[in-house]
Amino acid sequence: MMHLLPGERIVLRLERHPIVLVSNAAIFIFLLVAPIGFFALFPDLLQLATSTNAGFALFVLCGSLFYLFIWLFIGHVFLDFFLDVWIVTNRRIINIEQKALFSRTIAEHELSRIQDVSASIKGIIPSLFNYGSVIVQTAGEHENFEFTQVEHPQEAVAIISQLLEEVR
Amino acid sequence: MPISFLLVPYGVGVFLWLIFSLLIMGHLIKYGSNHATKITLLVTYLAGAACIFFVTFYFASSITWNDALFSFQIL
Repeated sequence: MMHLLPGERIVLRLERHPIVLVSNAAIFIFLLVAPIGFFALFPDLLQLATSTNAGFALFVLCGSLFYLFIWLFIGHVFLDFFLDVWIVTNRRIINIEQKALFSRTIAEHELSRIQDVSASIKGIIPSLFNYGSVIVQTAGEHENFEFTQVEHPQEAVAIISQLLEEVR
Repeated sequence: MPISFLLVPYGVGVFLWLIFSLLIMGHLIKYGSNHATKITLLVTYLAGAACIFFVTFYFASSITWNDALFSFQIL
């Protein structure tokens, strides 16, 4: 949770484009369907594995664990997607990034320290769905921000540029 | 014992799954800002897990553990 300073208001909230989930979803759909497809192709193996009660029990429990962990990974991917947020206020830019389950980065920069803002859309799919990166260059030794896979990056740059002019 | 032979690794697996699930849900509750999306994600996650457990126990209920014991004794 973030706390706003007195007189501060949120101007823009950037999140990753939902289309980026599709590429991850494809992997998980494959993993979900792969065992079903495998045993559909080789029904003899399924029959062999489940021919005894012990084999059937082992098959059910292993299948259960497999799908539970796939579900866990899906949950983790959604969490990573959901908790990546970039907030632009009338005073600063806050970068909240969930890199892994135990790795979370929160960084902020005053608008007055920002030198340049640019948008970058690379590739066919990003161009079709209008998502890309917003790159924020800061003065001095502060590291630059890159908001990746955000929706409408050019509109975001226009809003941030307008805020920068107001600050200057 | 065959029953423990099957259930102990399953129990360990489910325990690990539960720990990581709690961590994921904890992160979601703690850091998520949009309450509607947060609740939707939590409910979906728990419902999905409940479905997997339901299917597991539906099939597992047809296993007679004495037969499983017998099969392992043969093995």
